[in-house]
Amino acid sequence: MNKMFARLTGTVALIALLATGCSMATAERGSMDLSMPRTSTTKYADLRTGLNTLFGEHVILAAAATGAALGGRQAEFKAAADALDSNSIDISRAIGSVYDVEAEKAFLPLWRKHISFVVDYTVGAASNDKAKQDKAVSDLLGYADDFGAFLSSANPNLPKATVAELVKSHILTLKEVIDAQAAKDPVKAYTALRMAYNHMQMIANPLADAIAKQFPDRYASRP
Amino acid sequence: MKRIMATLGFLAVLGLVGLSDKPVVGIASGDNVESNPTPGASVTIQTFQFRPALLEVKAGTRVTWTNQDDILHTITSGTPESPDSRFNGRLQGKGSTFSFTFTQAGTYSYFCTRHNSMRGQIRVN
Repeated sequence: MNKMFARLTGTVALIALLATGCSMATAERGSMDLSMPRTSTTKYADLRTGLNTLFGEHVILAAAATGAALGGRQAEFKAAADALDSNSIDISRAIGSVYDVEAEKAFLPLWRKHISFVVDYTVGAASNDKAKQDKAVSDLLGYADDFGAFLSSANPNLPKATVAELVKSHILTLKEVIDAQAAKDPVKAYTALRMAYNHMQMIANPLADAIAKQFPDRYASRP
Repeated sequence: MKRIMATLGFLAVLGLVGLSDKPVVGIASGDNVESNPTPGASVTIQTFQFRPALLEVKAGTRVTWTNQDDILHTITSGTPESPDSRFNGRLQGKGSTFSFTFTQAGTYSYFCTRHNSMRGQIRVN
């Protein structure tokens, strides 16, 4: 009995520590501003790391929201959806810190648009509505061109077609996650989630490189 | 079935609250207003924004919009909630233009049908 109590106490302590660490990390990330002066020796590294963190978080939170929705877990879904939108706002702020507040305002609805299409796809998956799923995929692929056009317009070092292809891959990797969640195949879902998460660095890194090339004075430490 | 209905309900909330394509681009911010008393005036479309978002002109001015984004945008009069069919231009891609002459005083709203958060106004004095 004492042994069990000790084990339980240890587990609770570990969970408490983990929760504290997570909340601190979230608080720090929430206040992140890529334009703020840092003590780091390289602003380029900050930019690259910041973008990777935000885009990776986007995938994790999107998968958490779709998984909770498909599993009928309402409270978890709401928390994940709220966190996902906070992440969208942080990504927009990151864009605004590089460009300007008008770019930030233009980016946010565009970014949210693709999330609404992911919602459409998930609704289709939940209701076995193949037509709805197909339309959502078509909308998402069309959105990739819009996203490519936006970034290409903001930064001439980002070819529209290249960005669009990277975004299409993001959409397809996330679709794999949702399909596996809908099929109640957790092994496949988490394997797909790792793929989708890792793919985001293929968007974050070229974006950071292109920004550093566009503003060498601000991000001079690019290797 | 119950779970599917619950799921649809949650997703509807996700789609309608917080994550929908809300218009957030202000159209009358102080530093994004341009007055132009000349016969011709221009608006540039770049990074999914009308620049300036609010343009002031005199009656009889021909306004030309130039698309600097490599994507289709429209110049559609009215608002997404209430288009008014006064003018409707399609700017197919980078470098394409659309012009319209404003003969009557008033404030004319317009937007892009493909990207509803893109909104602008022409104020004719």
